[in-house]
Amino acid sequence: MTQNIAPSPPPLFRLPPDRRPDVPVLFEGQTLLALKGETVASLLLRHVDAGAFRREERRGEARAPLCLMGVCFDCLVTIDGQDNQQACLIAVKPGMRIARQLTAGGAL
Amino acid sequence: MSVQDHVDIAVIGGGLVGAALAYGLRRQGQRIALFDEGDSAFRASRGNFGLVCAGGKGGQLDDYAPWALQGVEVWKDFGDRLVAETGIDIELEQNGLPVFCPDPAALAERVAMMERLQRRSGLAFEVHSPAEIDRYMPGVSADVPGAVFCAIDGAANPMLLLRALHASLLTGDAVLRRDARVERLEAVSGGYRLVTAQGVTRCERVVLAAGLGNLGLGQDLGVTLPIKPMRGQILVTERCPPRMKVPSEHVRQTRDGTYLLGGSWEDVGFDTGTTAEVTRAIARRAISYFPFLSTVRLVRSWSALRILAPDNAPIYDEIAPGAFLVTCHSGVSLAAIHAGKVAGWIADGALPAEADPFRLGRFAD
Amino acid sequence: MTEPDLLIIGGGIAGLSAAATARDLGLSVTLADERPAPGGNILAGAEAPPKGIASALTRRGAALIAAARAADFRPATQALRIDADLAVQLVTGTGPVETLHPKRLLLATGAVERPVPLPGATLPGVMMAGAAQLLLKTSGALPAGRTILAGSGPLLLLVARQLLAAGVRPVALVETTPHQSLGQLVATLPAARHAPGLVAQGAGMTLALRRAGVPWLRQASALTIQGTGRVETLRFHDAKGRAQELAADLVLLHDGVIPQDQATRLLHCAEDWHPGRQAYEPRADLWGETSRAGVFVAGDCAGVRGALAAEQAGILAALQIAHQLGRIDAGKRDALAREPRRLLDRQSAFRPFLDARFPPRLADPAGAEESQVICRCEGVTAGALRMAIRQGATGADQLKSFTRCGMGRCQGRSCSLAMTRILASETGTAMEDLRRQGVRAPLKPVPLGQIAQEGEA
Repeated sequence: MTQNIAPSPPPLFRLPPDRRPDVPVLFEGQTLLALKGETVASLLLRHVDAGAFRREERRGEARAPLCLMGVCFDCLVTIDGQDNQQACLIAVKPGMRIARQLTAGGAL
Repeated sequence: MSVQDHVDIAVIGGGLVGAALAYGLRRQGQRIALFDEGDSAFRASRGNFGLVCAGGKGGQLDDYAPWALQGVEVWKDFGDRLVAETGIDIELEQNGLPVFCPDPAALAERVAMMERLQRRSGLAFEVHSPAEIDRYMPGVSADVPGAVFCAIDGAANPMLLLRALHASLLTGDAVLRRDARVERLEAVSGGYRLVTAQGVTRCERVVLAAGLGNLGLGQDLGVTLPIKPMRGQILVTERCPPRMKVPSEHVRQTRDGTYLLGGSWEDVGFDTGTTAEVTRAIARRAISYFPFLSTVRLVRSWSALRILAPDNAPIYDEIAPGAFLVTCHSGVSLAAIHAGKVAGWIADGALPAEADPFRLGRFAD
Repeated sequence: MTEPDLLIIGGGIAGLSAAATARDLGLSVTLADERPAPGGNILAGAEAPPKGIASALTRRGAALIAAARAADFRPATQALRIDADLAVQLVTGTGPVETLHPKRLLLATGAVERPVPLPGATLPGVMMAGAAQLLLKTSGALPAGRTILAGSGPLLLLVARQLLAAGVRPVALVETTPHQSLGQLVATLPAARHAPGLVAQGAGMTLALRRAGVPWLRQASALTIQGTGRVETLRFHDAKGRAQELAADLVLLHDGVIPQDQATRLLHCAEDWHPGRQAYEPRADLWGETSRAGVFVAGDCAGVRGALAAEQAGILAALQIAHQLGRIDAGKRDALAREPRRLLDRQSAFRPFLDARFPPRLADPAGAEESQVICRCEGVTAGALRMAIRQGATGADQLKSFTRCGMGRCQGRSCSLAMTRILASETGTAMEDLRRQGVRAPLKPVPLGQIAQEGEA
């Protein structure tokens, strides 16, 4: 049976045309291009849909970045296999592996 | 504004010992006032590991072994009743508790002690191999020599236990004096007089259950108490998916999913700080038992001061007519028996022979 | 053992300017910042600012950053614990923990946006206005969908202006700033005259927003955000009390800024409640030294007074530290301090104008609905806090332990002020008389394995 799937909402942010990202990173199996020195949160905010970066452990509520200055802990992602890293404080590196934490309870 | 009131029994100390006694005295129909110092108190109740545990207790005082066992045996009824009365789930689990031993010599020593305690109290225990431990605490290192497991032991949430005991005092005629440090305790004709910043309370009987605060209160009555602080540091991690079926002495996963790591003993006076060195040592030991913990994040650390008598056992005594002293290190493990038997003794106004081994006189020589 | 003369935590304008002054006076300086690049909030991206962002301040900042890069500058470095003897544990990325033993410590951790516990504030698509500004400054990224700015404060207007300049037209600007009578405005004039340039800049910003024709709803109240899994609408009452609803993809909130004070609280530095700024602030002397000898604060973490003040406060702290360490005598210190102090005093005198003009109004925790989430990490509601207070938690630490409010990863960064506000209101205690919940090491969560590794060969 097919289901009518609503198109996922577009990302919340975009780059102006004069910015040319050229740092390849691996996001959930797909290659994305980041700006040099850009934070992981910035990269994801302009690539992933407007939904969750993570689901918090208590009730599985969707969370996404709020403050981008290291305060709120709602931008936690898995980077290079290590969970719960603050995406707003970590700069992309070529070849970095990034994944959202969409199962309540994180990894382990 | 000054409060002047009169109650049958004043309980000094709003931590787990005082609150459990107040709860028990209420059930005995006593009119009580509980004096709680509030946030500025050392409040060991807020910083402890929450184990409900008889295993290992009584190593230096034989009579403590059966008493601790009795305390753990009556815990479930006490807990169930408290939950039913307050609606606060105190997260009691008594599915067993292993105590890890770092090397074979320590394991042999622990087994010898448990055998001795067993002869005294009948407390059952088993020695478990890593493979056996792995069934209830998956991920344990195969390098752990083993653990001594007591099936009757377990844990509760000490913070919610304290909250439930306080909540239970909201109903009825109990008086709860918050942020009320007892500055002076005086014997007066027909009872005692307690002075706080808020006013004066008269009572017929008084219970000294103020943890390390009992040192000063004892002095007020001319008694020097042989208790001292022994610092324990605790680490807590972020929430993780449920894995552990039981707590252990140094590593436990709480109902919230966080791991509590502890087990340090430091004789550093009244310093409630934490140190990098002990934090590191606790982290190392926890990882040596459960290597998967190395990727789990530490969120907070704190310390609390155990209230230790020279033999690590509780002290129950009537230090002046109508002035009862209750002090112990194990406010969680003994909460049920404090709310039951010990509150009954105080309600009766006299300690029975059963209390004799726990009196101050044992330190006399 | 690494023993710099001065360790500075925080590479924003205060930390950078302190580093430059201290190095000029011959001190060895280590500067640690948790972000991957220096500059903090104000100078974020200052090394290559997007068009329209550069100012005299960013140009000065770029020079300070260049100087810092030449020193022992450690980006992406967290301070985990700070002990009374000034032993400071640092960790960079996934590396091992290292302990530094500086002779003096300067905390320049800046400000954070005042947390806003509003209905729906945990939904994806709700961000702080400062977050959008950081994206703009550091990567040039712009909101892609329907964007609303809501709240109060100069930064809200500045971000609106910067977005417009970058070609993004917000759906609306919903301002909660209360109406101010002529009398109230006149009362702020003595403060305003201390920084006529900033007042003029503000007026220009207002004018530009008006000209652009962005719907500007003033004196809004009762804001709530709705959506399933993400933001869909913002509801509020307009100045006349009528219910309004606007559709949005992104809601940018702002309600002023408060000191980022976890480190001073970890150190049990004495603090005071500042009623004008509606914030707790560490108590410090004229040079920024706190109640903990050898621990200094500079910039907004010492009390929000803005970037220009932070720049001068950093210099003053560095001068006193150099003096304490015997590099300059009191005469030279005072001579070098004269101009920075004059500039700092002017900014401090100006600040009450902004405090009076933009009081925090977006979310009042004391009046929050029972179901309002106060602690985002642990999901603790205002109702749960009030219940626990009734059950005996009349102190912040007891309240924390009864409810888990503040026990999550952020350790109260997002909820401590709101929780204290509720405690004050429920117990009838003044904010200045309340002891806040403690802050514990580590300052940021860190894998146990990294802690365990320190000192291992």
